[in-house]
Amino acid sequence: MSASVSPSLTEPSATSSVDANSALSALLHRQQQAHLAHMQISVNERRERLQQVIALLVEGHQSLAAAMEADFDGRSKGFSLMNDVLGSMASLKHVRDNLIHWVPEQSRTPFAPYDQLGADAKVIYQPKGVVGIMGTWNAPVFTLLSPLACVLGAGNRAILKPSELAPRTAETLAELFARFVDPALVAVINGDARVGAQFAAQPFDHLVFTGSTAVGRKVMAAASANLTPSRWNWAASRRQLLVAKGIWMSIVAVWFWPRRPMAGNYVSAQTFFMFLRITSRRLSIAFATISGNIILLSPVILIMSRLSINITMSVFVA
Amino acid sequence: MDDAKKRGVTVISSHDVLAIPDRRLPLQLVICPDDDAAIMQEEIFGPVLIIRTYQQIDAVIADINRRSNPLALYYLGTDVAEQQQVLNQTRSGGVTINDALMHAAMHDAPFGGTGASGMGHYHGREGFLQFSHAKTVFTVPAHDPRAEWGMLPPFYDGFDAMMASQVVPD
Repeated sequence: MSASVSPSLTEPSATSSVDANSALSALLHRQQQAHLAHMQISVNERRERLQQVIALLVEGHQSLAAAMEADFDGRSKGFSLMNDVLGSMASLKHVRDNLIHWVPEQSRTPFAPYDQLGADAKVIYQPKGVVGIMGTWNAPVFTLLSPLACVLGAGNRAILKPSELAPRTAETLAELFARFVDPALVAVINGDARVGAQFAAQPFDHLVFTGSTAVGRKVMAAASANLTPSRWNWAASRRQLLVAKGIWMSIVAVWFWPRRPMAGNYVSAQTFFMFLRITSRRLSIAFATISGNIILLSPVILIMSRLSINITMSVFVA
Repeated sequence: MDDAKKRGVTVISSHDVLAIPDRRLPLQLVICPDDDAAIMQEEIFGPVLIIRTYQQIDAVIADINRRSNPLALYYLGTDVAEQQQVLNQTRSGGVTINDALMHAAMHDAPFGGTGASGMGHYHGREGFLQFSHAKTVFTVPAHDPRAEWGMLPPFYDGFDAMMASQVVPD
């Protein structure tokens, strides 16, 4: 996708900017759907993804160095290979060779009295999703592919926006990625500053920008409308909850009993979504009735339950 | 640069600017501009180096700390105590001692800014954590005694006193 999209994006007309924005939105949507369909990425798969980018650099290092030489009106190819190609490659290989130590979940000590009761606590390191990376003109490959190493190592997908001030390098990157990497994993979008602004305004799960403080402020302002985690969490949690198994009564209990004594000042501050696995028509009707009371509550909630019915009843009467 | 020249600030250039027709720029040194000169206020893009002089390192540290945190700080010198003082008393994204830029190439250590020079970082385990969500998962045990203990509504009579008794300084 990047190869077919990129050339048209370098046209400075208003039409192409609109096209670029819709192409970018479609690409981001495609990557996010791919991520949601496959969120648990093994160490081996992460290594294999990193290796694709390493192979791209091995294959394309001369054309990248030539493009940087032309973009800079005579930058040393040796310097470009050292700074941009080898610098990126060192990051990619370091992550490839060390991520096995970073990926495992970490056990944590539950608080009292649960530490004595057999509770379990852990921290898992989950990919954020799709990361946008905006590069600079002065290190046009390094500022994209060096962060990409950590982005892929963490199990994410990425869309790259090279600097329009190094246009040949940007175009070469787009061609190389189109040849070597599935655009649903990593894609390149090229265009002028307007495309850059549209890029920053996309609802990425994380945005990386390297550049000046002045532009950084604009990027953050554009991203602030989207980078709140609520949108992504909501979609993902719904997906997980639909496969949750539980008894509806006990799920009600989980939400009602802690909230009853605080009703009025705490519950109303948040809203919760509740998703139940309906196993019979009767439960389905009951859920509908209860939901009238509960859905006034919302944004993010996971409900799984194994509490007993008798607790439920005392709560439910309330 | 125009502002600096207008103010009579000494500017030393490696080449005549007008003699280079392409995108290359000459190397330029700007010697001791005033604090209110434009070049001291704005971010510099290009091969321009401002030279300021000092007698006491404290004055340099104070001057650095009056401005936004830089992305990088380079200390050139062999005075270990002074190195440590600069490290302890200034805030910057990273530091290279006795050279420039090198810390950014550390793929086993985080690279990033602080304050106005940025947030977050990439490289190394810290970079992996930057792009991961650290998600806490708490699994309660099969048996939860809080209800038997009267710790869930309706609370038992001594609940308030039991909670209050735990508010201790150690």
